[in-house]
Amino acid sequence: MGRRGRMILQGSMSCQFVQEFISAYLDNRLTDAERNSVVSHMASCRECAALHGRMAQVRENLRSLPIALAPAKLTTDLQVLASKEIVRRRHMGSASALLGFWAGHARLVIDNLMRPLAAPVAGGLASALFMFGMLVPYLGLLRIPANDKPTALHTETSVENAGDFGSRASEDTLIEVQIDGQGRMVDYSVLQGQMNSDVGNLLLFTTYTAFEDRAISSRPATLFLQPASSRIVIRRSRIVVKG
Amino acid sequence: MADSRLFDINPETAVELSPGGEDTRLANALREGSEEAYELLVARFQQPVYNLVYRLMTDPGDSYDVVQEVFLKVFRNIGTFRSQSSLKTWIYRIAVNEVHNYRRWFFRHRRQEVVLEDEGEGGKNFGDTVPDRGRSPYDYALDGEKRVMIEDALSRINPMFRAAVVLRDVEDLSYEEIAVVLDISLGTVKSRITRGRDAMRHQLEGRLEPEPQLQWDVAAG
Repeated sequence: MGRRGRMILQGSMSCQFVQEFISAYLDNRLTDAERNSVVSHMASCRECAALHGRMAQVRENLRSLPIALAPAKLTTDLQVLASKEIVRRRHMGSASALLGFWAGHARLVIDNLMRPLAAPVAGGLASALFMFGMLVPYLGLLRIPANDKPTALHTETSVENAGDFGSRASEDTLIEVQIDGQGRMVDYSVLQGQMNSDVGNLLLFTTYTAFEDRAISSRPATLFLQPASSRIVIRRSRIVVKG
Repeated sequence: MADSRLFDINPETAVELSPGGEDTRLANALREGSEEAYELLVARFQQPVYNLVYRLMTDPGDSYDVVQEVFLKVFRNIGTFRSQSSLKTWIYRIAVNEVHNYRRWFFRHRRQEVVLEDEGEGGKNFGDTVPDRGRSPYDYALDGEKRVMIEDALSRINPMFRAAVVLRDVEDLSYEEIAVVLDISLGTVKSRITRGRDAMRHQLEGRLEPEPQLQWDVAAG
């Protein structure tokens, strides 16, 4: 038996031990022997008796605290929470239901991610298409077969008179010429061969079919009956005569 | 689907009808996804859990969110309830742990938030002059200064001791139930309640009027 046990039996507990027991005494958690020792000590010790009174007061004060009432909205929120949990639990019941649940969940997440982007993306795409449509005729990207006779939606330009002054080509030459809607050369590039005076003369004096000069069926470089720029490739071949 | 006759929807009487068998039936119905069981669980434990969380929180204004977290965990983990303890102590244990988690989160994150300083009152911060307990001045006048002092003292003591004292004196749980809720031994429960009440006594010393001195009679023991 320990020192505390002996003191309890002898009814000679010190103030320190009694003060440790006061809380349990208030809750009626002491053995009969402990309880008798505490009571007899407090009968003779004003300090411990006063402490007991103050501890009892603390306990009563805590017990007198009113119940903190839950906000009315909490019930609704908890019921919503419960409903979601019920749905989740039911969806977790089988493998197919679980798969369906996660597929639906993924769809919802993707939908929520895409929805804010839908309007800007659609607007941007429409704007880009519009701009592209506006620029296509000027980019020379639209290639329609030259023999578009039945509809005559598009006609190519052609060389009316090659400006060759009898000079002989020293080598094969391939030139791409950019023609505007009025049949005038606006740019060129030599694709094959050298740029020399012969080629320069050729470019300077070559004339192309012009819009005003031809009947509708042969109008050069038109797009929907309107004059349009076009490109033409001129090949100049070197002729070698033997003998 | 759970049999509706198994449950008493009235929370007043339902609390009285909560021996182990009733808890087990309720837990089983919850596992089966019975709407009625969920409704009963909310009706029965919403108020006690809110009161417990409110008393344990350093800032009771956040009790609302914590209670929702508690119920979410209860719903999600009802499958782990094993009927070795009552449903009440199991839920209280979740609530105490959730308050503990929230307190840790609070000290990690919100501590660094800027506090509004009032230069005119010797450095007292905004929280000191206007306690944010979600109460109106009318409530303060109605409840009285004493209650405010007790709540203030309670909020100042060590959270470990506060939990034991609140479970004992506010929630009226037995020592055995407190041991289950806090997952500690009976001896530790006794010790924490003693320390908690002692801390409360020190906090309230000189602030409340003393009770009349009790007279002791040896023969009465």
